[in-house]
Amino acid sequence: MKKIDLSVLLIVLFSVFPFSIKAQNFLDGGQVHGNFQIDAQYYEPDDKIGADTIPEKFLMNAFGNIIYTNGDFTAGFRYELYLNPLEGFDKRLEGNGIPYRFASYKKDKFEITVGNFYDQFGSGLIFRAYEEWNLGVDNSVDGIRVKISPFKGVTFKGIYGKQRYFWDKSPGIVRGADADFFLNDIFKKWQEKKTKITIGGSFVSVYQPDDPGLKLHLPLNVAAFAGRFNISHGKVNFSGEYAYKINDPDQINNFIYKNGEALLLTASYSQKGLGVLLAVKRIDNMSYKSNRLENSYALDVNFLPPLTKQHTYSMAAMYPYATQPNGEMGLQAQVVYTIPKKSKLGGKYGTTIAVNFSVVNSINKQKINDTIPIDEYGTLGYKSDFFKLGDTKYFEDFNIEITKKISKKWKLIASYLNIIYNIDVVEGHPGEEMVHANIGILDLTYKFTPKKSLRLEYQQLFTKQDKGDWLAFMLEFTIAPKWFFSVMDQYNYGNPDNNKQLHYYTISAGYTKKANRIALSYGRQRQGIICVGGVCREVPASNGLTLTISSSF
Amino acid sequence: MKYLKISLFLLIIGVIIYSCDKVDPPYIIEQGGDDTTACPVPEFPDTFYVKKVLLEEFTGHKCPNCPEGSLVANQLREKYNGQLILMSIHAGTFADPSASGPYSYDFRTIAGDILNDEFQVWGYPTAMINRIEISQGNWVMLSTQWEPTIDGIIGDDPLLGMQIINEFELTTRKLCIHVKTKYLEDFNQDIMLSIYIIEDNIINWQKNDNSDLGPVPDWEFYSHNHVLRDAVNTAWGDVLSNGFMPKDTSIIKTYEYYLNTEWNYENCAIVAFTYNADTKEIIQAEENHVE
Repeated sequence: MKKIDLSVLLIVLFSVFPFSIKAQNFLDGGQVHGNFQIDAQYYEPDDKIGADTIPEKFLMNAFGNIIYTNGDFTAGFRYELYLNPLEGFDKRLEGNGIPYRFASYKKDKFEITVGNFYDQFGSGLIFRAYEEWNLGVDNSVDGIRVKISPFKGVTFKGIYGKQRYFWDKSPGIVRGADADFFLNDIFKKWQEKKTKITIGGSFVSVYQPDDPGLKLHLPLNVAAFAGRFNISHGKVNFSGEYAYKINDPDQINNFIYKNGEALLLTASYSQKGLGVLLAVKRIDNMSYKSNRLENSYALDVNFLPPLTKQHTYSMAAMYPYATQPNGEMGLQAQVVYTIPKKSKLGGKYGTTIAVNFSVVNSINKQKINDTIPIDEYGTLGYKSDFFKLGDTKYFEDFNIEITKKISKKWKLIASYLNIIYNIDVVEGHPGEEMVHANIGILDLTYKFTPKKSLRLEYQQLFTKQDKGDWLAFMLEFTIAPKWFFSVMDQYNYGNPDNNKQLHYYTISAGYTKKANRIALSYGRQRQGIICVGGVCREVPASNGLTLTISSSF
Repeated sequence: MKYLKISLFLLIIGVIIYSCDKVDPPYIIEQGGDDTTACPVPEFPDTFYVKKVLLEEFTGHKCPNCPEGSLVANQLREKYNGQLILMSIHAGTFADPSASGPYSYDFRTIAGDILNDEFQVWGYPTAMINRIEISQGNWVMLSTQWEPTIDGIIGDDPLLGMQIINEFELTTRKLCIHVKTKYLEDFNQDIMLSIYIIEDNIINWQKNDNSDLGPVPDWEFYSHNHVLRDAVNTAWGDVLSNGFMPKDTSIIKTYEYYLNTEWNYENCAIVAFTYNADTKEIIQAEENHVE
């Protein structure tokens, strides 16, 4: 922890000091680029909103990426600092150092990377190493990756290593291979065809030593495989992936031995002014980690893509859906249509209407016999009918968004959402009622001049459950491309507890120049959860001054 | 060269496919007093048995009412003078650790989560008294009901007698647990034996809304007592006997266990209890310190 590996030093020294003539040549024509970000907050205790006293008063998360490229060679590292981690981030992040460093060489059809890398096989159902700064997620693999393209249209990939675990590494070793075949390149007679077909397959195996404390006959090597396809024909695209995982008893599934399965199918159509998407998925016992005892988001070997729209407006994002790896069946349909300019309905500038619907249910689970309860520790867990929906609704979201430029000066975005949210399952609040929420949003922009604009956001959330009704209001003045100033308030006027009918006000200002940005905000942050790609973290209530600085070069 | 690369790749795939362990049932490693080589059975002294009752409290560090529940449990323990054994099970939403900050310590256990689910715990703090099913599908009760429930059973003659001898080696942290159960009546039911580890005086944060007891709303140096740490022989234990067992039969079960280095062995104790396999009701319980 907190120490710089020998390999990092070698990379840095090799990059800085010309050891030999060859090294001097090596440095000629090299380029360095990277980016930095600092997120810091000064905390004030606020009993009313339940913001705890922070002993340090001031907390900071920061990183800097430095990447050196020279022809076929790339090397880099990322310095990270969490002193101490911002509230809501995992406290196991505490510390500073270089958790990510790599060197990569690519020549012709061959590429090798040593050190840390991010990658994914297909849609990620059995392997995805990625980082998401806003969640504090980083499951990069520290090891070796090789990519080979022996023929045109054929790519093989092999990975081997251990995953990052905060400032340590996973106890399990992740091994995997992936093959991708673009048939139109492989078969000459298909080259000119309008129908394009790609197929692929991948295998992953995780090794973790035995754990006598669990008193189970554990599989030490847990393997998963997946097959996928993508067919496109003009404006139509159809893709899918099926994944299978053998017995993988772990903390998330309560140490059951059932196999895991995942299926993801997506069909889309797009042409100018119209986009249609339909996607379905089924996840059954697909938590896959490089530590069977880990019960947080850390050390995920795979990624289960969400089939729900990720909302950005604060009220719409109040009830975000978190993927349930133990089992879910979901569907998403979306139509985006632009009514053409100068038509009767489209007006002078056209009007875009986006309608989106998603629903996620539990999967069907039946007892394996009369005596063993479902999900019982150290058993097969349950049986499941593949095509049968479970009885429990986890999430439903119907939303419609209309975007219309009214005139040269006015632009309007109006949205309506109807959300059903199983707070018991998604946030783990046992016994709490299913949340039914209706949300209306108006977003109006007025341009004084081409550079100066004022944006008004008005949002209203109605629900009889959870914390009751909310109202949100924001006014943002922008002097493009450099300055913005905003005031915002979220008011929980419908909270059933009178003492909690509180205002969450924030004032913010920011300055951007080229690739440098600095932003300050002061105010209250309500307690909630934020999700990116179906992976969520809790955000505790806080009050104080937040500073964000980012820069890239 | 191309074929060499492809062959190499296929070899990797082959190795990975081979790296796959399919486990056949039974999945649970059977325990049951077969660790006598590592842990020779000592001689149990003669003793006089009294009825002992187990109170299993469901709690959580984010549960503001729970310090009051613990206070009631401790007062009852004093009242019954050693005949009441306490265990605090951190489970459910109030026990969820926060990602960071004061409440990030994880008190939960696999066994605790299983009990929380199986006994359909609907509130915190609540407790089970000897796992008696007080009404159809309801085992847990509020603190006001604990005392009358205990009063109703604590005066009964013991049907089983239990003794625990622990032998702990500090250097290796090896713990030999010997549990003797004596049938004080003829029995004709299936009896299970469960062995849990608890720890006292874990100083950590606790939510609190009673300023008479300590700081509100956050009690930084709260002493968490009788905290369930692990189930030695799984949440549901082992079969002690099936069917008829004549009076005066004794069974000794021995377990080898390695104490987690994070736990303070001086504050750890073993709680053993026997229960009816059908009704899950506890027949007798016993407690003894690790050292």
